[in-house]
Amino acid sequence: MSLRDTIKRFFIIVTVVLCVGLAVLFGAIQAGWF
Amino acid sequence: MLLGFQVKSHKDVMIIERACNLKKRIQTYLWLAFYFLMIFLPLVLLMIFPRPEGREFLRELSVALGFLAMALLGLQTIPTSRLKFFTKVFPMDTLYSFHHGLSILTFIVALIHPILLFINNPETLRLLNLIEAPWRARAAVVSILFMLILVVTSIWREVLKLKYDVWRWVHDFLAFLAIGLGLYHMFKVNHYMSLTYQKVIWLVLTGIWVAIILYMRVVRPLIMLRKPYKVDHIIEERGQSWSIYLKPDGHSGMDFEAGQFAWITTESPFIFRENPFSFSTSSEAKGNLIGFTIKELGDFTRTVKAFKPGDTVYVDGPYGTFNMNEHTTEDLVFIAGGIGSAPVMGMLRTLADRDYKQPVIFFYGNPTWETIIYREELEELEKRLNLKIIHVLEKPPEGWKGESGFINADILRKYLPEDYQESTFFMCGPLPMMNAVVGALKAIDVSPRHVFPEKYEMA
Repeated sequence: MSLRDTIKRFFIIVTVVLCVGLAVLFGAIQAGWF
Repeated sequence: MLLGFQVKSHKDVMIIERACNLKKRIQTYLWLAFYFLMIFLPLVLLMIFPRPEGREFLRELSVALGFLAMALLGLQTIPTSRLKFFTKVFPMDTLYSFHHGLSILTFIVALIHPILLFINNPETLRLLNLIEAPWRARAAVVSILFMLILVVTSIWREVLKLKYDVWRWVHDFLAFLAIGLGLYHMFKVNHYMSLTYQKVIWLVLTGIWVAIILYMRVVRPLIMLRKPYKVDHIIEERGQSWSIYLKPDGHSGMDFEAGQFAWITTESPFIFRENPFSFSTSSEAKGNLIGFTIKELGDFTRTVKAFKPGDTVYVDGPYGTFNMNEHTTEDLVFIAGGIGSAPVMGMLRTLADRDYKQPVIFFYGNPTWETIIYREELEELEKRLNLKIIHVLEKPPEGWKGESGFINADILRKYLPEDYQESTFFMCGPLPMMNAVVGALKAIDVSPRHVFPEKYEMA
């Protein structure tokens, strides 16, 4: 795998993690868990 | 020509380009910040500013994923937009590949959005009944269905035997509808969208997407129409390949860097039946001729030999970050397979025009001795440059004393200089060959930072 592929994969993984993290956080806030 | 100055020495080019690298790095970080902003800003604003009372966790989680899916869907207009200020920073093949990965992610996020709603309240399953469901639900279902078709036809285009231009029209049309229906659904649900700041941010995002689509589908074709090229001459090369040389018709042509590529079409630029080809001419060549070497591989490439001098061709470019000026250390190693030699030839011709004195090694893989494109000219270039060419033949002729088989770690190690880890490696060729060579370079401890691949599979 080239450096470009590694960086591309890294950004997709970061995007997935942020999507899941922020969506769960939003759900938790709105559900009154905090 | 670089930055408006006529340059001759390769060292001059290197100095100017290194000065530009910091600017490029800053641009990269700004674009990445913009990327995350485009996806997450609406949701982050919703968490910071006042909003309606919350509901069950699964329902709110589903809403958040819906917002993210919409933002990701609209964002897909950018990677393939060919906007110059974007393609100057990111390699085009990486942008396309990123688009593929993100599109699958978008579809998955969009699909989870209703599934969570159904789990939270099974009664909502009735929204799948398109006859009785409200329009906002119909729009959402059809939008996700279109996304599914987009993903399936993109991944399995060749299996489905879809012609590239047909697929592209279908792809663009369905993507446009999926975005429109998704936005309609979101505005009609009108829960969080009743907030003024949410309306504003989504209208701004929509404005950006529409502007990009208009640029791609109207502005860029118009620019191409206003700057046509005429076929100057055509040369038959070895290996069922043709070099086509074009001259600008009524304009000054374009400045490009050796290694870059352009999209070419002989039909109206509004038909979008265009193909990408690397410049194979020197970027330092006098006059405005630009040249491409094209191998007979598909519907369009088989028509090239029928081109006649004076035929009109439309060229969209230059694109790509595959060029020596951006990356290079002084020692250059090129690795190419078959027609992947076209951009390498452009670079070698450019180096010769710049009177480059440093050692250059070119590993060149081909099926047979007779199919080596540019074979005679490469022999000439060996005299003009400090160039060593290592031909690697799959089916060598009898008595062949050179390398045979495929380019591998042993062959690379045999011919590379002792300090090869400091060299810059440029490679171009079919994907299986590229993957094998990347593995071979890794095996001989070449840092990925010194390896610059150009992939030919973008669509």
